[in-house]
Amino acid sequence: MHSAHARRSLRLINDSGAISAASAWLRTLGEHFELGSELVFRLDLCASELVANIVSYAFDDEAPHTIALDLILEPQSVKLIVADDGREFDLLALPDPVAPVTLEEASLGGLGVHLVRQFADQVSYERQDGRNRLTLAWPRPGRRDPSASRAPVRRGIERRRQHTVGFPLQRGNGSRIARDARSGTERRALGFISRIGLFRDVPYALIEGLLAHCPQRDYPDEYVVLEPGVRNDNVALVLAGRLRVHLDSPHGNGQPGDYTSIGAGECAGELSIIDGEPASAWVIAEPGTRLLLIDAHAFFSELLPLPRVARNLLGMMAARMRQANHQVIERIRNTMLLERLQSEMRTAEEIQLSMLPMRSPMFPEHAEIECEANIQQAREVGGDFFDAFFIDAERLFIAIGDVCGKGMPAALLMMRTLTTLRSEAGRRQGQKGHLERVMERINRKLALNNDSLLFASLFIGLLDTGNGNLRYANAGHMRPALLRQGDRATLLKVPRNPIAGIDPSIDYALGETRLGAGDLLLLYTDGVTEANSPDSELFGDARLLATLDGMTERDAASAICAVRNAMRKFCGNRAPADDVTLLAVRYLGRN
Amino acid sequence: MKMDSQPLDGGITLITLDGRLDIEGAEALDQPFTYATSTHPAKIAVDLSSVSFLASIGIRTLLSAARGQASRGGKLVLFGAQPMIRRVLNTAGVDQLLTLCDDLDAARSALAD
Repeated sequence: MHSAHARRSLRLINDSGAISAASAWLRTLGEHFELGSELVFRLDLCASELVANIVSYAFDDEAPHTIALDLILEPQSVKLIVADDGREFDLLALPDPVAPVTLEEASLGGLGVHLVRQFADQVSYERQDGRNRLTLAWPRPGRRDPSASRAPVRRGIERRRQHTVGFPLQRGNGSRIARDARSGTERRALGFISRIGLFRDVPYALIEGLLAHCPQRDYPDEYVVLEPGVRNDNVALVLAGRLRVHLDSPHGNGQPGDYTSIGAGECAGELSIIDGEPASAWVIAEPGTRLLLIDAHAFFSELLPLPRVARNLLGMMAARMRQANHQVIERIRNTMLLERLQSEMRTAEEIQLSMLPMRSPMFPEHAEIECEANIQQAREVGGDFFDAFFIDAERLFIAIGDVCGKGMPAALLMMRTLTTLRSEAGRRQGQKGHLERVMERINRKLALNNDSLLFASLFIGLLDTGNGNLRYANAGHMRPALLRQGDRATLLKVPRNPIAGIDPSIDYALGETRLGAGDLLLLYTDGVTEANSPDSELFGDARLLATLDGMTERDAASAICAVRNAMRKFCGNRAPADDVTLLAVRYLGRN
Repeated sequence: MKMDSQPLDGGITLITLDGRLDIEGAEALDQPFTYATSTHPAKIAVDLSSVSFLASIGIRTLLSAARGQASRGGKLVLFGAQPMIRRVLNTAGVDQLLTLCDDLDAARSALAD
């Protein structure tokens, strides 16, 4: 067929199969649009060399990349655009290869590029948004004057063009048609049909009688021509417009990669005719689509017995299969990448959770305290952490923190913080300035190795379970809640110090208080106070303190339960946007 | 890509190539063609008249065979290339390195030199 304007696209993965796929695609289109054998040769050669270059040299990594080919037909020109996201490569900037003088010294480097420059009429290159985009152009071979074309015209087409239909006509079966009863549009359509891929090199007289009796139909915009499960009885030839084939429901968001197109001159429905199965995809008509419908019986009994038709059909299906294979491979690759990423995230989550002391109660052997904790992670890998351990027989080290950010970098920073915390808390304990030194060392470690500018808020404390003395330091974390026996809940007074990881030289100040028997300290992260109600109201300090005041049982486990229940009620059934972490310590004293 | 090899009189081996000398063609040809052209010194005429496509990788195949022959004291000539194939060979400078003949007769006399 000869369309004045057309555009066809092919997306390939950068493996060695891409070269043949690009070549097969261009040859199919070249025949389909009657570009002539010489131009097809040039397109084929240039695309083969360019794709081979891209596959071999453009990428430094092992990941799959897409190579985009677009063929644009205009009345006077044919353009081929080849684009990739590999390293910058302007073949126009390369010098011409020096012609070798002897066979021995002939080197073939740069030969492909040289061929492209010589076999394209115009070449232009641009580098934009990290992509190479090479546009090749040729004049479009003339249609009306085959002698003006540089291409030798295939004999089959030549013969058809010279053949003018004179009435009366004699059909293959001997019957006669006295005059042409078809409308002008139908006649033009039939002339067009004789040039489509399926009927290439098929003598027109053999198919004319059949095609003249097949209905031609116009379809309203976005009409569903076929859908999965529906029995299909026709092969549809696209005379005008375009069909879209969707494997998934087309009523989702129409991403360009979600469908393939069947343009004028191509056919649809031949697969389900051949295997007798219902349609396997949605086929949607785009505006201005006109189809010629060949019913299954006519297709099998009259068309397929023609050897040339059968061969053309196989050729078309092979081309389609190649393209489908490439799409499948691309999908499988993407799925595998995604699965690997998800499994890495799961591993990180498991490691992270396994680092936190998730027992309840935490220290059953210490009757003088209760200690309970709970963490609810918002996404797979969160930035909240807590810790509680005895550094000697009497002193309990507690910590809670929140690494800013999410995902793998935050998880790694959290693990690093926890590890530092544990090693520092155990060192030179009991000496003067121990707790300050822990905080300062963590801060310095985070600040000095902080390429990705991640910060952590952190509250640490050391509780002497012999006398209830609590010393603590705070790096920009939420003030813990303190619920003294027989009193209302308040926020603990903490020294103001910035979050860890910004300035390595900060001196952290200490706070100190004494817990009486029955007093409860609740550490939490901002996921608690910044939880949102459905009306976007914040949970806040006041609601947290009121929740603690409202408890009937004032033990550590009940405190965590009460806060979680209050939050659940406040937030409705929405999943938390941030990690929610609670650590409750109640001092019971030595009886 | 199909390859056929037959002995002609005058100690000449005629190798007929049929198909596309693209990446697949070059791969298919790699072993049999290299075997037929590089294992012993010979006079080889390669018939390109049924080769419908030629890319740089195919040129590589032809040139390395010719180079193998030259280094063994044999000779390899090409003949019968279709116009577009001929144009690729000329553009690549192969006509400077190898003898390109119009037909088998010309190839015979080139090999007889």
